[in-house]
Amino acid sequence: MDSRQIEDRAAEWLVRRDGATEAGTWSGADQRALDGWLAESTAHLVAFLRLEAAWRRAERLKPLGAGMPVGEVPAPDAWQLAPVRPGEASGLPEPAKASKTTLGARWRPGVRWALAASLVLAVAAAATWPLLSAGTVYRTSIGGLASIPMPDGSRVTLNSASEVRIRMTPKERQVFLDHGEAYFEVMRDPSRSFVVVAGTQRVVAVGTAFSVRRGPEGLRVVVTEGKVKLESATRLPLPRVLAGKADADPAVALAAGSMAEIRRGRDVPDQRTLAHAEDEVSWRTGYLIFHDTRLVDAIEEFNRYNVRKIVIDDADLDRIRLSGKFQATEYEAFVRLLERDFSVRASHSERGVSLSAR
Amino acid sequence: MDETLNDWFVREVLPHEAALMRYLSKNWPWREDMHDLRQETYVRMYEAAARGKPVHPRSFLFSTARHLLIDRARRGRVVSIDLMGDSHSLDILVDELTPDRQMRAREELRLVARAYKRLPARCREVVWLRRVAELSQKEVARRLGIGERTVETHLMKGMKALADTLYGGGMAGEDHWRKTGKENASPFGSGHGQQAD
Repeated sequence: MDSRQIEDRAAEWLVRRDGATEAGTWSGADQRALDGWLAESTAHLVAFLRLEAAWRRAERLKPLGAGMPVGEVPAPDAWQLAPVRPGEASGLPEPAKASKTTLGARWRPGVRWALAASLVLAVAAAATWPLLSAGTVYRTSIGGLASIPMPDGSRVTLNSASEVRIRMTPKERQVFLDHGEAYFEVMRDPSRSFVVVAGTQRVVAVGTAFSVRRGPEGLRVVVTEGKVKLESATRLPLPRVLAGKADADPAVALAAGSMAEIRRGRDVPDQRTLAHAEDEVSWRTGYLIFHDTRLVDAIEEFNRYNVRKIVIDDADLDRIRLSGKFQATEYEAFVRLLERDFSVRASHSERGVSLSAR
Repeated sequence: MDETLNDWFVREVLPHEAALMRYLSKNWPWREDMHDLRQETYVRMYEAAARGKPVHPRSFLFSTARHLLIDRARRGRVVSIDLMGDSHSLDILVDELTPDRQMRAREELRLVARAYKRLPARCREVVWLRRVAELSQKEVARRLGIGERTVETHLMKGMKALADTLYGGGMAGEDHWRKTGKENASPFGSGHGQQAD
């Protein structure tokens, strides 16, 4: 076999392993077969090492890929790397670990992956920084959790199945929340505000910590520190009765320890103070905390973190209320607890778990 | 398999591939032998390193290559090639400045981007969807409307091309950046290194 044939065989092996590992079908026998081929000759081994090393390096482009709609391949000249400005945060985006989560992956409470946000993708061929920069997209899959440091020292923590686009401009620090939930720890910067944009709503922060959740039901903002302002592109001046204060400013101020919900189809936020604002963002540590929470709400929350879903098949279970702290991705433990303490019967299938009264 | 030796090889030897290819093509006129010469140099290097890691991998790589070329020339009784002509490059112990991590990381990203751009169009689409967008092979096939076997073929081609750019600087052993005037075929046939009489 000549060197080219050997290289072809090595490539075949690498592709096979790559595909089978991804599909979960790479077996011990496969590995032994590969090891056997590699042991046959040093020529096999070095050819394989070389291809494997290059293939690994090719992963580096993942953070840029996150900025592109999936399935769309940029033509060679349609994108370029914009130079990183001096003074920006150091570090390179590691391949976005946030978006590479195998189904059912667990995050250990307290573990955070860091992604650097210093590289900006220029969209047009003639782009010059910063005119046409669209920002950097970060995405987590179900059960994922990612902590993203921003160039200004702020930090964005992405919850399960979420996506944001971070864009720094001289006037504003912007985070576009596409879907899901994120927690923001904002560094004070008097020269520019920090804005989370979710659809037509803008959450403006000065120096605070707060979370924003965007889903089909609407928008939810929880403030744990400092103050934020909710602005709307379309809102009319807020009726005083809802605001609870004499304020004709269309922007709604939200203080620490409170939550605002803007339901889909409505423009006006409902506000209330929270006894346990921190518990609403406990997901950052991998735990869900419930206080006398209805079962259906608890399950809805669990389902956000797990691919296999829990469903309630029995109206009798509506009466159940839960309090306690649960690991978000350990839904099996949660189900067992329901079975044990609440006389629930669980039937498991491929798609998930169905609950009924015993 | 010795994991640390493999890691060492990838980390210390492969980065010098572009320089190795330049050396080989400067000192051996038959471009169709480049692929085989590269691989054979690696084999000898790896096996020597298994017995004892060289202190200066780069210069050891070059002297391995030189000895290989001498062996090949002897076997083929080629007399008119001046293999010693470039010996000064062997003495260059490249004291590489290690640019700071940030710079290197940025350079790496640029290099990887360039490697992708160099892929043929269809191949690039497949590799991109698999590697960057992280679709499964099946999904790539579905998205592009091609068969899974075709996806595999493109991936294999992509892996080889990426390695050629990322390590070889684009010199696959197919490219020959300097014509030496020897256009006739190698006395060895393509990459077999056999006796040529």
